[in-house]
Amino acid sequence: MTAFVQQLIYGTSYGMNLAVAAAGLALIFGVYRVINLAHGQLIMLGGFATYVVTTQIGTHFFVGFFAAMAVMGLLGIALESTIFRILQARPATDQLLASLGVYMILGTVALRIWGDFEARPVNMPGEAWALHLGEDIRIDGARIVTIAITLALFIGLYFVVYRTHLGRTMRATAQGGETAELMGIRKRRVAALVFFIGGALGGSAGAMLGGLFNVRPDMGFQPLLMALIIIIFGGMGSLGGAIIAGLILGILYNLTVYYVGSKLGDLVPFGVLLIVLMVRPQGLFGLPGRRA
Amino acid sequence: MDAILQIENLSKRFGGVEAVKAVSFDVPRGGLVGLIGPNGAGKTTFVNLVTKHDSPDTGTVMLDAKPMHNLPSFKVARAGLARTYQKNRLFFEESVAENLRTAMIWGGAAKHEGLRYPGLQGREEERTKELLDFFALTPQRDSLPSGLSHLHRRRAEVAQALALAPKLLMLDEPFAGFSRDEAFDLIEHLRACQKGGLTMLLIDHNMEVMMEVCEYLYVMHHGALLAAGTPNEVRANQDVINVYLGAET
Amino acid sequence: MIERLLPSSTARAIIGWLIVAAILVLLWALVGNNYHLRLLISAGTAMIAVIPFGLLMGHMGYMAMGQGGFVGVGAYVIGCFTVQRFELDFWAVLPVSIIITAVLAYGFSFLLFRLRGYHFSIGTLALGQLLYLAFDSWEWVTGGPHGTSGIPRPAIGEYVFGTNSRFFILVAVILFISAFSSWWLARGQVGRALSAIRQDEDLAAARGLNVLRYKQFIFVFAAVWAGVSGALYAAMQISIDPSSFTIWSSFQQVIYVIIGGTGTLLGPAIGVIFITFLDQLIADFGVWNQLILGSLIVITVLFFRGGLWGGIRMLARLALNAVGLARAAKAPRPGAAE
Repeated sequence: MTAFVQQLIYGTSYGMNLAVAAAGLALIFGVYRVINLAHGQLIMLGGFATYVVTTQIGTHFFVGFFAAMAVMGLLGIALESTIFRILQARPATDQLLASLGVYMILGTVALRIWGDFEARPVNMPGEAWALHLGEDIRIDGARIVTIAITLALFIGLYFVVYRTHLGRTMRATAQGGETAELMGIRKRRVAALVFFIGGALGGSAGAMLGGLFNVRPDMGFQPLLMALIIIIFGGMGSLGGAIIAGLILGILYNLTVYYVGSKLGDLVPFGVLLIVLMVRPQGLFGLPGRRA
Repeated sequence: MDAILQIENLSKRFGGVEAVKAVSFDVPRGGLVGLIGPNGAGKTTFVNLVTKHDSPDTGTVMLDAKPMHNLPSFKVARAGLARTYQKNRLFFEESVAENLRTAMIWGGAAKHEGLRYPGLQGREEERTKELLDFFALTPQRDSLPSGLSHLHRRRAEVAQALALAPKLLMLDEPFAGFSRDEAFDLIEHLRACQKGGLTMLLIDHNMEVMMEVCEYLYVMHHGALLAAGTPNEVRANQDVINVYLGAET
Repeated sequence: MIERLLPSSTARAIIGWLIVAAILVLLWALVGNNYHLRLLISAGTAMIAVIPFGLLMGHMGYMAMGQGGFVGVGAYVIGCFTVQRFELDFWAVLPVSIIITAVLAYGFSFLLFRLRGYHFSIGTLALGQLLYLAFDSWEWVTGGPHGTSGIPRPAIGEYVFGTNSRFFILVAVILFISAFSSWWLARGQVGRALSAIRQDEDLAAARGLNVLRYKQFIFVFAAVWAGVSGALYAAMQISIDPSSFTIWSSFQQVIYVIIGGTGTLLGPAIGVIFITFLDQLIADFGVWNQLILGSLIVITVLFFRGGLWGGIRMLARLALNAVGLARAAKAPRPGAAE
């Protein structure tokens, strides 16, 4: 039982991490209708930004964390204004391919700067904050910090999307370009904002993953793949769906790894995906019916 | 009444929205029946359900007493139920003649069964030629759809649907974007096909044109049938008046 | 004007295939260097998978991102049946390998073709990763992370395809069959159906096309050729391990097609040749070559949608036009010589 609770909490923290990564993708897809495979490298670069600021310069983790968010947000804007703006009107294949190209470019740049696949540590605060529940349950401070950060991010995201003027315009754009234009919404501004938030979410996911597991130039692929599965599972473009799907996957993953073995744990996301495709191809919160 | 199409209790729900609510109706053989309703009444969803572009949640669709609701959409088309689209659709990389030929090949050999409208006799080339002549599209036969005027594109789309040799043709907003003259030009062609035994279901929100053209009308509102009858009966129906006056404000 | 300079389409097709055959024979006869032969073999092996894949991705517009998984299945079936678990002959196992890939692809196609666009691509990406994990963990069949080694080179009677020169013959013959069958499909009713599915698959269904059957057929077709390519790869390499069948190997197929030119048969082949060549050229740049390739992809997608083959065709058309104009200028105009 204690082990179960422990794994449940670890799974929750991992799942929330994935949910942050997926929320960036889901937000961009929901409003802008583009799948950005380069998101995986934003996660990786977010990890490295945190590494540089926190470990190399030697500041507090949160300085690195916010630096990662800001830099990746700006990188998101840069990608939008150079590449995705052209891609928006193109078919899905083009978007996937071009963002794959960007993925390769960013990956090479990171590999060139940081040289090798060596794992680099990022110090997360909270060693002292480890929680002891009952006799045997001990939860790392890093996990608690992760859970706290993601909760804060989700609350912030909720307020931006549902409680601000900017959020209303974003949702109007998501519902249909024409309606939004009739409402006099400035498309470019919304696009920049969405890519900033999306990039920042990717960067923060990278910072937290770096804190939990070290930073590596190839650390972006696994979360990207998970995030892609999560947004299908949750329903393309649905933020709430992404968060819930991320949690489910993270918890299932951890429980399977602990009780059955790590090889089967790796299969869990794909198993879930297959079941979702069989039972509900539109995902948890996607509307049934026509899919373009 | 000899009904060629019998729809019973057709329903579809999208998330929390009931797009089509228990719609039942019949289309008599050889008739020209209209389905009207304001925008968002669920007309296009209804067409999609009948042609199996979407799967209905409940309900049955019978064409000539054969069930359609458990067939995939391509089999519905081959069984003789053709449709056109609200937003004009043709294969944009193929010429007009190719578009017709493609439908003939996929639709299988022409089924006559008392039908006599253009494009049923002979082999593919002759059928294509006859349809192109009938719709006065012969000069455009090698043009791509993007090079056609709106009127010609709509004609080509109807011609492609007829190339399947259907018993019943469902036209989704065929007059959208047309002037009154252009609409009646298309209607002339459709009436000629009706004389050749084709049954038609017109779907539109333009009350005025539909009243003039159709023999019998169904009115849809918020996914459900509101009224049915001859144009005069419908015109006098208080519910219909309320909906249409309400919709226009 | 241009039409008169070119022979009829059938004659053109025959000439084209003769040229392809001649190039393959010439390459075999002229290339003696073992290193170059190996490059040719690996490019040819890639083409065996990529040309049929071009039908799926280019003609039909369904970008599968997990083809590397099927290459792996083809390779591991050979590995498992020729050394790992049984010791059967390559030629006896090849049909088994084809059947297993086909059945697997057919089974998954029911799930995958409930999806379109992004969903399909992500679904196939997940399938590719799933197969990779299976190669890595199902040790009884695959040998796990260490893989399978000691796969024998195929032989016909006494004639063993042992040397690179001999193996090239094998690859060339199978490549010819793969390319020819793809061409055969693309030019007929199947090609028309695939193109219609790419243009508007709902309309195609509404006009009576059994869309799902064509999609499944072409998916299985591409998967089978990916499997054959994997089988040859296994026989060539003698030992295989999961690192050759990662998602990256799937991406590579997609990249060949987009760089070479989508929607054509020659495009993907040209993509393979170009990237093989480019890899040699920029090998010195070390880690930078991913950056060059990535930039090429972005530029091609954004600005040169036709890829290399599209570019070549455009140049050829310009040249032919120039020739045609020159001839027309020289020829006496009808009615002018009175």
